[in-house]
Amino acid sequence: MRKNRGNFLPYYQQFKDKIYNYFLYRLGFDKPLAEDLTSEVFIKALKSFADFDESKKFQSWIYMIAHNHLVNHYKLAGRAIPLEPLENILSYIDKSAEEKYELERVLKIIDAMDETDREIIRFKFIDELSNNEIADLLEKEEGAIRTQMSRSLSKLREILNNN
Amino acid sequence: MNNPEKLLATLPKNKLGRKADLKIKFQLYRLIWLQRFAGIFDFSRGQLLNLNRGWALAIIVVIALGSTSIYAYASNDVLPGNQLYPLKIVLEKIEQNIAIDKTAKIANLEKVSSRRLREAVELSQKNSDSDKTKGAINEKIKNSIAIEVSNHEKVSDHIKNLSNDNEIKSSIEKAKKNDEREINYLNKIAEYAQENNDQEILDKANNAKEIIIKQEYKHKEGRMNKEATTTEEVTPSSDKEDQSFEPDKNETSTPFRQGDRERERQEKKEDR
Repeated sequence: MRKNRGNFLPYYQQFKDKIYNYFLYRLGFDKPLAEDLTSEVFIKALKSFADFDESKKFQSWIYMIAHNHLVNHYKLAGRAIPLEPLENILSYIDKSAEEKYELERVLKIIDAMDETDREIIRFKFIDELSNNEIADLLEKEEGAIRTQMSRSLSKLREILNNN
Repeated sequence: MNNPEKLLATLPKNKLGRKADLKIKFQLYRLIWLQRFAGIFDFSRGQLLNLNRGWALAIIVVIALGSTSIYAYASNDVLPGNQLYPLKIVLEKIEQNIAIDKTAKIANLEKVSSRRLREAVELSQKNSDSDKTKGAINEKIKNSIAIEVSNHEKVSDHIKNLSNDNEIKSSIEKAKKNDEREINYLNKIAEYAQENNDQEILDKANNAKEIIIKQEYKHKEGRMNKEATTTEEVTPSSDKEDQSFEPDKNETSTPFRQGDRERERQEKKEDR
């Protein structure tokens, strides 16, 4: 039986801002591009809504689509990541110069970390996902995520203290 | 720095702009509606009754009601006594109420009065041995004649109130054609009344014919007066009749009509 697409709209309402933020921080705060990709992701999700297994979490499913879409975006048509993403992000943050400096340092280090550490930290602090949600998303055990998170944050602290 | 988590927690969380949100919602709604309509007409996948039952049912009901209404309105088989007859009358009233101007109202009234007489003729041709049924049919015939008379008066009033010459001429021409048709129906009803010795129906039919003849005369007279006034302004001595409104031979083909036209001519000569 085909799933009623009308049931998709509450999901859109719930996750639109999260997916928008997901793209915003990964595309150097390019708002129009983040909006376009958000739109494309939800349309793609709606078209495939019949395949969505409702016994699983919608959040994991939509983030997976967003992630794949972002990867395709980088790959296809030579779309480049903005050259100075941090400056864009910092211009949106209403903080003191000192705080901005500290944040810039942190973000630069995160950007330079390997993909596993980088993504897990982004999921936790930018997308505000819990360990359980990250575990769902990455199809791992929650304990494994907790361990990985601890390791990644230790690495981050270590780099910060050494610089 | 020992606590980068605290700093990261202060990163701004942005919301999707209203314009972008509306744009996405529009695209999503469009896709949803497309799927719904595709589902309704996707007979090959058995979607009609399984998945979009509500929609399919609504469409079937609309089609059924629409086709029933069209049938009730247009069919000659829907006569007084038929279950769909009240629907036919309602639709006629709606049509009358939404008529955009007087000429449309006139045309509609004529159509309805002609239709009632045709129904009366069809009822009169129904064979019935039962006195009760016959009585009911006769009542419906009388009612149809009454409606015809009433509508005729309304048509006459509307024509009087028309100000545009072309509209007057066109309406009178149409009224004349309709009158001819109605007189044919009334003749058939009169025949039926004579066969069944129903004096009341015969009187009503004859009375209706009289009204039609007088009405036609009034139309013609009104028009002739108008023409005469115009002609006098140009050639005061002219006493020509308006030849364009003289009945042609086809119009006077029924015996009843021929007699009346003779009487009419004699009346006119006496007036002069």
